[in-house]
Amino acid sequence: MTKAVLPPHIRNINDHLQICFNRDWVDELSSRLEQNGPWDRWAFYRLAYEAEQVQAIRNFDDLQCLSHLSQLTPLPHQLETARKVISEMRGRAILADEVGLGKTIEAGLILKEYMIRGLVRRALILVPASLVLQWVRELNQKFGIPAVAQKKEYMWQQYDVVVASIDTAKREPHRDIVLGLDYDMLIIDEAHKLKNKKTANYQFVATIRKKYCLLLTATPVQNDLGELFNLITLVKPGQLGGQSSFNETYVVDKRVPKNEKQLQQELAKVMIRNRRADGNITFTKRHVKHIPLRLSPEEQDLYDSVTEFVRGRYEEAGGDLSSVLSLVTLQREVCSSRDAVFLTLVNLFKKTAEDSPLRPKIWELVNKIKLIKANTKAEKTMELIREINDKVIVFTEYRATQEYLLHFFKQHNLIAVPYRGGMNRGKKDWMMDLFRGRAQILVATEAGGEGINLQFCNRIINFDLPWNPMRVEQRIGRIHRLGQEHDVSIYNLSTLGTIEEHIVNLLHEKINMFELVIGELDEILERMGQSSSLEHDLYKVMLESRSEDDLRRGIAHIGDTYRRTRQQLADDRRANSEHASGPRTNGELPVIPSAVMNAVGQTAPTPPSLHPEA
Amino acid sequence: MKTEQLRDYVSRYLEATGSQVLECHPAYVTVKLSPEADKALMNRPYYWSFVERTGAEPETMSITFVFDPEQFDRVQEQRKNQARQPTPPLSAPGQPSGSSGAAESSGQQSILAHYFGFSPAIVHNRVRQEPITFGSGRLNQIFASAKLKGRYVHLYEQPDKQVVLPGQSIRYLSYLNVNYKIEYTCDLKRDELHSLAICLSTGEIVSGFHEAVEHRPLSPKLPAHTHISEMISLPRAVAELEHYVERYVRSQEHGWAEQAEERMADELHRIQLYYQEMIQNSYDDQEKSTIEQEYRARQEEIAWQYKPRIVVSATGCGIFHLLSPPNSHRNLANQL
Repeated sequence: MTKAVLPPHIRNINDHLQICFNRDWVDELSSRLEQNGPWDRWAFYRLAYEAEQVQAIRNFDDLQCLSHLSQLTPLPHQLETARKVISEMRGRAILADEVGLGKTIEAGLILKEYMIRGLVRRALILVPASLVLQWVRELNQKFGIPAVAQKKEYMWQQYDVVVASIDTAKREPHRDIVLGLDYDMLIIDEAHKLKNKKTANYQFVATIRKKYCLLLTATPVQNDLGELFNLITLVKPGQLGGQSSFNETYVVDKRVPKNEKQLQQELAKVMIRNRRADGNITFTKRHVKHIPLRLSPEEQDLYDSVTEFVRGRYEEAGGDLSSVLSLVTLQREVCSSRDAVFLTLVNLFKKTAEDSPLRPKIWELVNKIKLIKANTKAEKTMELIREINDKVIVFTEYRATQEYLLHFFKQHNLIAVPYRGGMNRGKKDWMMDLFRGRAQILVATEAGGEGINLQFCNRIINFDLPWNPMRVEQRIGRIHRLGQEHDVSIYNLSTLGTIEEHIVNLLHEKINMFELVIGELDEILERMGQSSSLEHDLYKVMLESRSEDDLRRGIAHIGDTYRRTRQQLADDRRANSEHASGPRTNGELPVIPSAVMNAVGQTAPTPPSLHPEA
Repeated sequence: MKTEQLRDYVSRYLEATGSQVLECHPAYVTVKLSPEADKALMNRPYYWSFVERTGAEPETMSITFVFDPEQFDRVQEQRKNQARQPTPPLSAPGQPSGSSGAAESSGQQSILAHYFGFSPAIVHNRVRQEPITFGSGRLNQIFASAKLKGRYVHLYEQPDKQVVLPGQSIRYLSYLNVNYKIEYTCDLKRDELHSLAICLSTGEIVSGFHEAVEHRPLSPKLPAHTHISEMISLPRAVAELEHYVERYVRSQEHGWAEQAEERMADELHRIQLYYQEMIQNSYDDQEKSTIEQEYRARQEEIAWQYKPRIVVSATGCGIFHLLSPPNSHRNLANQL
């Protein structure tokens, strides 16, 4: 009945602009009037009105999200990036900051802003599988965005903000569902993996219907200008013209651009690249201290016996690496604590057949453990901690060592709390709180991907070292990151005459990893294209070397590969910065594409007026 | 929102849901939630459906909403210290404060005790604590709950007892109040809120209605001896209000929409460059049609993102029977 009387609900204001009246409420109100209720309470009516008032967005431009974020204080370059993407780039951009400057934060700010304004409800975030949970956590904790990890088919439609891996999303049955939805916002992390437009991933992403779109990558160009063109086409097709006009206008050779000024200008309209070198982003220094220790005679005896045992097994296995890989762990464990090696030996003993000749050998080792009365490393650690007299994180690879250390510290009246991967979220948070508040020491077995905030502490003791440099970097990254106000001290304990000595040697002297700039290791590993294999290479060298010299050579070889890649990277960088800093007289340098990248979107120091007040 | 505003808002919400305040402090409030508030905030539908099906006595949660975390921590710390110290008058006068140090260290040890499973020294307070800040999930939930629970009202202004003489009837003026939200949307967005009401006997429209009546004594109860005259039908009233809003919107400056149109044209032009070249260079009809299809999809995306539009919706509405006309501000009308 009402519809008959009312004029059309969409009317023209002028040629281009329509006004649309939403009338759902009219029918609802009239039916309640007819039935005389039910009526809502006046108190709630008032509260609802006030809620609308405080949540209304009064103008088109100011960033609103800051007043909504109590868990996060974004850095100036991050805010400036968010502002620029929304007001100048119209919500479609490539965020190409160098590693460690917080691309995730920038993307989160932009997403949050659009959500607050009601411009984004449904968002899809495609990331590598290993980063899904981290994204979910960051969006929830730092931004209060109720993101979920896609696990079941129904979740695509059920939830508004979904984080998923691109490999899952592109497969049926997910593919059809995703392509059938309209996404207000699409975010893709590690977007450099989409550089080839012939791949299924690229075509899948290109087909997704989206309003706003962010691509995140630290390395938008690796070696081919065409890759850059493809990335930009995902965000804004035609920004650099069509394929052939792009080639005509900008490309000399796939590695060499022309009309660079113009290219830079066009790029700056879709891409923002903040760089560490831009000056207003500073990290504190890293101080690394090595503490070589000599094992006590009993400990050394155990180490030697274990080494002999492991070599013996390797030979018995006829050089089959995989079957004895786990035994190398024994050697590493001896260097950590007798508790760690004890546990492994006991398990090994249980697994071995009762009549095996190995059993007595293992038992012999266990008996040697019993002779060890003190832990050289633990004593030294305590001495260090007393000296430091400040908050310290002690990292170890082994649960048993962790337990031992907690017990040891307790006996010596030091307050320590544990932290490990197996703890649930609540317990982790609780341990963090205790560490922040009352405990002096955090004994941790896990460092990776947790987004835990430990910037209040600036000292790490590596009780033992992981063999994967990325994991070493993650440990350090817990405290050495944006927001750390003090220089960071890293203490590495290593036992002389053991494999540990070699590892420290490799990581420290060959790879020089403790002095790398934040993010550099990522880039090196990215270039080498094989981040996880170092650990495997090490095991192999370890087991196959006949002599101390063999071992040294093998490890040196691994180190050299790293060093070469790092050198290349440094050369490129230098070429870039020379290029970026204007025409040099000796400027016949081959212009590699990343030089163009680096000239894009350098952050100028932000004038204070651009920071909306919280 | 400032801390006091937050506190005021949340307290009023809790009061409206009938929650029981256990402790009230400028920095925080501890409440035992009413079933209504528990259902709205605690995200446990299974529990509540269990309670409803089995008729079990519901056990609602208690929670501390913290508005000023620093002050809250100070208060907690003080309280802990008080609890730790044995009541002073009982200790012998000769040995005054020696015990506090011991208490301190036992407190510290309890961290380890917790971990190693020894009996904890401090009994844990089971009440959940939550910081409430603007933008926090919990506050947004409270906002959403209030919006859901406060959409349609029917209210009567209550007369002063003395004023109504025996034998006399009360004359009410009836208003349809609609709180309009006008959203100006393109790739950017801006909102306006207008609380409008139309008098159902005279057809007069007033703006700023909510502010004008929010402090009047309003109740859903219909007092005795009342006289209500409504001349205007609901559809008619709605049409009048919409007409009023439309006139207001027309009188506004719409440069934002022109700019959005320009941006849209700009974007359309950009992809045209890209796709025309591709279409021209395509090898066969099939490839051509694939590209054309993609081109159309991109064009649609751009329209979706940039096309300026104005959406008017009601955030709440109701019939208000007032004893006197609202002291309206007429802001909107004056601008016409």
